[in-house]
Amino acid sequence: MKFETIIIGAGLAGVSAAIRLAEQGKDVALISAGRSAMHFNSGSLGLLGFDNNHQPVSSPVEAMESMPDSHPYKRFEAASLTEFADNAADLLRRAGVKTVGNVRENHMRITPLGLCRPAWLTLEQVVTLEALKQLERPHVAIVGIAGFLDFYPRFIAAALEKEGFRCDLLTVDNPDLQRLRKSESEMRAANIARIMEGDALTRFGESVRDVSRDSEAAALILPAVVNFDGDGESLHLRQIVGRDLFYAPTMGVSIPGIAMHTRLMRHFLSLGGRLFNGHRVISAEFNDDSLVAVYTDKLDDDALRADNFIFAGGSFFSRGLVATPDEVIEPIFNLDTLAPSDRSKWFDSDLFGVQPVMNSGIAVDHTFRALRSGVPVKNLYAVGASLAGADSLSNDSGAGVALLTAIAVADRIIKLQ
Amino acid sequence: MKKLDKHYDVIVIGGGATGAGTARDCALRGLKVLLVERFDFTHGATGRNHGLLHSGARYAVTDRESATECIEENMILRRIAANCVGDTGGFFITLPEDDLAYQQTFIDSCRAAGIEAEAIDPALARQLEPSVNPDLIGAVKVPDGSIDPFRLTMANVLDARLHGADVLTYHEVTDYIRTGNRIEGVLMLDHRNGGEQIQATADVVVNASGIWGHLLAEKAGVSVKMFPAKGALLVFGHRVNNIVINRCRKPANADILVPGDTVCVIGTTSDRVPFESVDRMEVTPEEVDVLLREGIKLAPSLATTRILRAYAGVRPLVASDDDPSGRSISRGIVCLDHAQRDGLEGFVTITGGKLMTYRLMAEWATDTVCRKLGRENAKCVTAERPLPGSEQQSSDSTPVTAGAKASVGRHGTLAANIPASTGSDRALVCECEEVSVGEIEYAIKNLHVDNLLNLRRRTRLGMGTCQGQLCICRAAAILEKHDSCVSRHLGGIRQFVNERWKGMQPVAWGDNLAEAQFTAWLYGSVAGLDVLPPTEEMK
Repeated sequence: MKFETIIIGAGLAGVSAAIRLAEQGKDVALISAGRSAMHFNSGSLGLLGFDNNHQPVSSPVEAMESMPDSHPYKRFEAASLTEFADNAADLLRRAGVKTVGNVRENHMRITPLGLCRPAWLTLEQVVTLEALKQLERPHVAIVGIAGFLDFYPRFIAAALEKEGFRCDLLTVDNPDLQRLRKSESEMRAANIARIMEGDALTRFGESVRDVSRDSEAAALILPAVVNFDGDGESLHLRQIVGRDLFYAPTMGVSIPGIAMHTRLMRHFLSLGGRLFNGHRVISAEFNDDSLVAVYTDKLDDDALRADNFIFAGGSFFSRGLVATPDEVIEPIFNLDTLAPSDRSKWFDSDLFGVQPVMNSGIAVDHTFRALRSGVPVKNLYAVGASLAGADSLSNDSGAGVALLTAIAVADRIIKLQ
Repeated sequence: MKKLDKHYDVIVIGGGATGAGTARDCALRGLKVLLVERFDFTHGATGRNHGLLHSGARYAVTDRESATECIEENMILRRIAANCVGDTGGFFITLPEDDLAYQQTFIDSCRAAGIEAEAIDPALARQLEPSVNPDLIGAVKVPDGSIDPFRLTMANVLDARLHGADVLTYHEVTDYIRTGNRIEGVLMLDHRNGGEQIQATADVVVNASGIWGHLLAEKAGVSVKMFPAKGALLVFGHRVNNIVINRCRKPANADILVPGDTVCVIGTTSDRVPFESVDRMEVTPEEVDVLLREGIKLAPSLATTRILRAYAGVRPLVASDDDPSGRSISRGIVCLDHAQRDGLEGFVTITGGKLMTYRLMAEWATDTVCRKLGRENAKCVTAERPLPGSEQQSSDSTPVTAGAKASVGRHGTLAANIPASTGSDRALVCECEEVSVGEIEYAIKNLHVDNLLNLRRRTRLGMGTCQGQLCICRAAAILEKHDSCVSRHLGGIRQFVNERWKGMQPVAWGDNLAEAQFTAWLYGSVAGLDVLPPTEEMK
């Protein structure tokens, strides 16, 4: 099978590059192993949340320029960063991912454990501190679901009270939820979201309305377990409940993250893109300095050929990178990696400190072409978390790196063709 | 300074198996007991070993006395601590590189020590334990087993309490109350309440604090010379073997592989370490290498099994009193009445020994205490009397849910006290280890639990293959309802994750590094805990 561009990895970086190319009418195939860090995303994206001293950043576009030279942002013209970031937000919007936020000023999202944290873009229905500050009075009710253990109303209340809000703590229950609770491990976000449709959604709305009847809160905060897939569900709930509703993210597999990813994938398919879902790329065929084809575990000897390839396989968690006891490797193409050579310098004893090994990744040239034995592969680009220098953990730049490098590479491929 | 009203017959220092066992024995003999632990129960060597129910075979050739003690206690623990013991059986295997002639010496020595030891055909050994190195040329079957030191210690604490003992955790003994040449009590620091100082008085103080006994003796003005010997171990992600596998040779590094619950453990190394290092044991790359290399010889599939974490404990080796140079090590139990030895009244040290002989150590210490108090008539019953949870199960209560089954495994007959009437009680917090909301509530109310680490030690929460990915937040929220201190429990989650990281770091490659990155991302970037200051290590 032959395509103009094949993209390996369908996380935020891979699917964004795929959309960008498909929007230009390109013939694109996207190979997805089936899981993505997006499924744990809490409905917010970071461009740059923290600077090098781990201080919160208020203006991401200004702070991006002060990143160390190894960071992927430094491969962009400083003046173009704003444009790329705005392009990324536009791409999301076209895919139906409606967000608040902008590149000039971070806003504060509220994490599943109730901490306020800088973010670039947040799904419209998901709670932000700024949105709550718009309320006519600083009084909210946080509505937990009986027996649902991955939502933390008391932790969220502690954070909001510090910000001057009065918080009522309420718990909703009804026979639908009781039925779900019969099994000891069914009360998880995805399972609750699954029953939140039709009459059950209406009954849930009525239960929320009833339990909050005596509260004078200006808005309700519910766990993000309503299907965000279409706008209908949350609008429907709001009508029944009869006051402002916000959703706060839950811990673990996260409905807002899944919703974002689903919309992006659907948009790509609607543009005529080809998806190989549940395929793992296991080998590759090179001709001199060019990649000719890749092979997946599901297609036997049927080669997937393309003029250009984009590797968006992610970092260690997604197995785009693999650490052996002594080195960091990229296991499919054996691309060059940059990693601290001395294993004793890989780690910090504080897991949340800067872990030098997390900064390792694929070495690329100035156009994001991956290096192999020191030479750029002419038609293989690397984007997103697998890039060297993209230690997105310590500065919350993961989503920004994914989107900006994906768009930059897609635009370059379009330009060269 | 606060002073406890009650005057005790005996204060026992140390919440390991020995201290808890001594408190239980004293309480069963009718003494008024206070048990004091610096941090949490099982914080020291009790919680950092193989979890092996030794048959004694390991010591049969080199140390007959220890071997005999082990097999006697082995048989006693099977009776009194049934719920803490796994009857796995054990093999001592001979590999082509070992001397097969040693096998007969080994069997003869075992039998002389009273340990059943039977040579079996290597083919039968392979059949009974498919994970064993198929190249083995000899195998001897012995009555080894597994023992859960966390459950064992808690059962002793619970029984001590049932018989009137008072128990304080997070209370560190900083000094003694002393009149002339008599110890009359202790001064404690309450780590949980801003370091408040507390006094408690007693006729006798028992120092049962493992390696830290050296320092506690020093504070009392007597010398008990100890040598810290570090032992490193690796935990693997699943139960590779069902029978304990040992090497049939003189005891050496990494020659015991023990199955326990859902995992298995290879160990150990043995290295003298400086006393200053005992509170911060870290496993080195060299130790990981030797444990893996030798472990693979016992069970080759360990080479491809995920290592969950590495940890190290400190054996309290004691210098023999009869060697003025202090260089020779006493192998067995050391019970010192400091009145006889040093002219210091009211102070007893119990040390040396092994987890296997904790009960016998407790018996000796309690005998000494009773003699000093003139209560010789109070007889020891701990060799016969089952521990709470290990009484015979009535057959009419078959647990229905997974969580209920797992909690019976952990708490034995006491699991009947775990709330399970509503769906919310039965909801699983930790899916790997099947810990329910009810079990956590039970632990908070009954088992001295107020942080995640206490909870892990009592319930195995967060010990499974996911290493506490989501369950610890759920558990932290339950803990928070009892003290309404959000910041403490958010900090607790951060510390717990870092504590796991400490164990993963020596083996952080492959899946472990992937998991660590995910954890750092989920708890750091997504949940936002990275901005909390790294607080003091959770104890």
